[in-house]
Amino acid sequence: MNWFHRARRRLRALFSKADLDREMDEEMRLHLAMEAEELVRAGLGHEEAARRAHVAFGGVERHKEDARDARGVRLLEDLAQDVRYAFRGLRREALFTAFIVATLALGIGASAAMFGVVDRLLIRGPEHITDPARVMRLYERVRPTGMDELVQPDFGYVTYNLLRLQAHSFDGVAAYSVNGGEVTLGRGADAQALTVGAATSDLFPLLGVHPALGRFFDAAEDRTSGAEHVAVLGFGLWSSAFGADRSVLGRTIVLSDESYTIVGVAPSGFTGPELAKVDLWLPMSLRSAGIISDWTSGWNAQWLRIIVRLKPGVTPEQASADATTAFRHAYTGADSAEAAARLFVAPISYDFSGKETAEIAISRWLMGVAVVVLLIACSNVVNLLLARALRRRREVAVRLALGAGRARLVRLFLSESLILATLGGIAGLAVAWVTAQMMRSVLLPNVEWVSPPVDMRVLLVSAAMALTVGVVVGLVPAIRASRPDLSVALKSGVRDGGGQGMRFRGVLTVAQAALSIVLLVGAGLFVRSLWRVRALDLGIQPDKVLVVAPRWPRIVTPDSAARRIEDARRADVYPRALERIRHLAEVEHASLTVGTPFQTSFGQSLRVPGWDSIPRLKGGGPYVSAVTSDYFETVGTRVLRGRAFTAADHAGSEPVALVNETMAKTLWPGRDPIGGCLFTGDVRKSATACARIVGIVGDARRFGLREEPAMHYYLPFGQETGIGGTSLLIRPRRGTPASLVSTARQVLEAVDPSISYIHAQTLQESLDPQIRP
Amino acid sequence: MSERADLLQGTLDLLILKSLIFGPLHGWGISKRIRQLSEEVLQVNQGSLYPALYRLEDRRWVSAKWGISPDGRRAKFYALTEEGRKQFAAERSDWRRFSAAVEQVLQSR
Repeated sequence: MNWFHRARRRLRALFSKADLDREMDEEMRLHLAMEAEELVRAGLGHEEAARRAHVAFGGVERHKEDARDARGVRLLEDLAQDVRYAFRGLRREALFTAFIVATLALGIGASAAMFGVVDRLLIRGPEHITDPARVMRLYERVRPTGMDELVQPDFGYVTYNLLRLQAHSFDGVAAYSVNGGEVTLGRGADAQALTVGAATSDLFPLLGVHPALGRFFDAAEDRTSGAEHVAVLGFGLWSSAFGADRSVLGRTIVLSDESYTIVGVAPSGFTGPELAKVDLWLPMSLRSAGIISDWTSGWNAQWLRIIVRLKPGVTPEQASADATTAFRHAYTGADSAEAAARLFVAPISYDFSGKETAEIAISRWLMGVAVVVLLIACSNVVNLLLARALRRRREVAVRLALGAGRARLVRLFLSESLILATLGGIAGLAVAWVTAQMMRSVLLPNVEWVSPPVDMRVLLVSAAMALTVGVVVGLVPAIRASRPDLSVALKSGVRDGGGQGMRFRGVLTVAQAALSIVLLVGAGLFVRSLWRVRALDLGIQPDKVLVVAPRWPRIVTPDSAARRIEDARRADVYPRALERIRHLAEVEHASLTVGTPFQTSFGQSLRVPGWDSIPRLKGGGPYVSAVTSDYFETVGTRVLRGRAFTAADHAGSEPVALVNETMAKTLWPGRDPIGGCLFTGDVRKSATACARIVGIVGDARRFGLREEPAMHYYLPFGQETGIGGTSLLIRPRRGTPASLVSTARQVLEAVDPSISYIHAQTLQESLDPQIRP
Repeated sequence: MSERADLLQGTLDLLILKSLIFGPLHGWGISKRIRQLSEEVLQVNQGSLYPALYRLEDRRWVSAKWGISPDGRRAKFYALTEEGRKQFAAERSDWRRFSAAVEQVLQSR
């Protein structure tokens, strides 16, 4: 415990300096008195004795200094003095200080905010995942016949099962799928659409997450036949819908007319392997049953994503090879492309094509910007401090001449810059808070954030940045100032800046200007690309259109005839609602569509006379939609030639079709497609009639902003076969589409009171997250 | 610090430790004891005693306590710790080897 003893002595020496000095005085006075008394006893006079005692003792002050050194706190005492001195100096020049602190606050704050974002997206991944570096998502690279190679993350249950049993590289394999809008809690106007995560029971142990309350479901509850109706509430839903009541465990909730028992609550911020919010977790078997009849063994449907945890020491390449081998060995499906597919693993922060997401690209880019800002701030501050040091050359020279150590001077300058950096760091935290909040809501709106914008890690990074900045910006002026040519400095004083110093400051200024230009250009490009994206001609006007889709409870009757009647009744709700809505005063256009832009697109087999097979374009397709007569006016797509559909085009009337510009140019180069034929639907049935092409419409985006042109054709609503899922599109006469939400809901509920929930959002909302450079 | 100073400092430490072998003393007492023991040959610069004492205290070879001297005055008394006793033994043997070596050098021809 020697260090403890010393530390205590040092602390005492530092904080009770006055006491110790008094004790030392007393001790030495006593010594002198005793020595003098002894000399008096030996026969000397009092004065002579005192004099001799002093001589024998030596210089009292020098011994006192030595004694203080021996106490081992000289360094600390000096430091405290330096800090006090630096504070005084900085207070004297309050404006200068404020300016520097503000500059550093911006630099440190921006960098800290960006670190917080990058930390979540890149370094730590979603909340509650232990050792996220070894958790990976499975992808497959496949080349469907006649198409470009594609990468996708969706698999069937059979793949999950075979990897679990036959691959050797994984500590765990789990499957999940997250779906929004299909399950509703409550009924009628109060109904709430939930984002539901379906998960195999091994997802939770694989990620390493622990429930906030109760438990997650287990393998027995998730059994493939007759799984239990159990549910784990997301923390957010538990708080909002159940008031964070701890007695919810064991209670029953009704979701889309089915009852579930609540067995647990997930911890705050748990979003599974992805970053978006999940309201509720259900067993995978419940979600999967009914997707296809042989869902545990069929190869034809892919609806879930697979997460693996690599064994320690296994590289992603080895794991990918292992997974591919296992998959090919087990594959018994009929698709030759699928049989040749290669499986690979990639970080869960990647997007669904196995590449870095736009969010990551943005945040990395902004991190770079923030670092440039910090560098500019630093060089600015160094420059200011240098100028200040030059102003103080005379003072410094005097101190040196009086015998101050150079090290002591460097320390003085350093304590000054460290104080500035500390203040800058503290102010920077406020900047970071505001910046991070902005960044989260504007650029990354889809990510579920629970930790405050400035958490412990951001705090630590900010502290480290402040310390580094403090040392860096202080060292340059300190070293320069402590090495002046004394005689010149003393004589010339303030006026002369000194050649070398000027050169250095010149270099700094140039560097700073260069960095600023880089930043300006970067910011300019950013704004320009954002603006360009917003102004992009999409061939469609998503900001003008409201998309409305009613949801009904699941039909529970086993009687197939009754089921068909109910299905037909529901299908009839759309045209009835459309008829009412299109006559409302505030509605300009309204239409029905199967296949909603930015939400769902369909591809079907297609035969065109003159073509053995339809050429494949980079953008994919051909896509098909079925739309009512007003569709193109509603979404704002232009009809280039010929005619659009009219009320006379409906189920049973002459089959007609419209093609988009790209399709016209690709399939009828240099010719007029109008009057041509499309054989649509199931082409193997020779009975399929020719749909006569009656017009050409402009290209419109199907999925997002960055996409290659694709072929697209339109059929009249009612003439489509084999595709389904109707949406109601409404274009208001004036005002925003969102203003029509309640009107649309009222109409639909009036038409059919059995609707359990009405989903309504603007087309723009499906698009917004993509408006990024 | 020069080698000479080191040597002197080390020597002074040794002398202080030795003087405290017989019991606690205050500062002046230590200087007096050293003079007596060396029969007035070693004249320690009395002031330099204190930095040395603080250093020894810092290393826990001596401990210090305020007390009352035999003539009734408040004084700070220094006493040898157990560690100090060991240190003294070690330094004494070092010193003996050192002085023997010097002696040997001086006597050689």
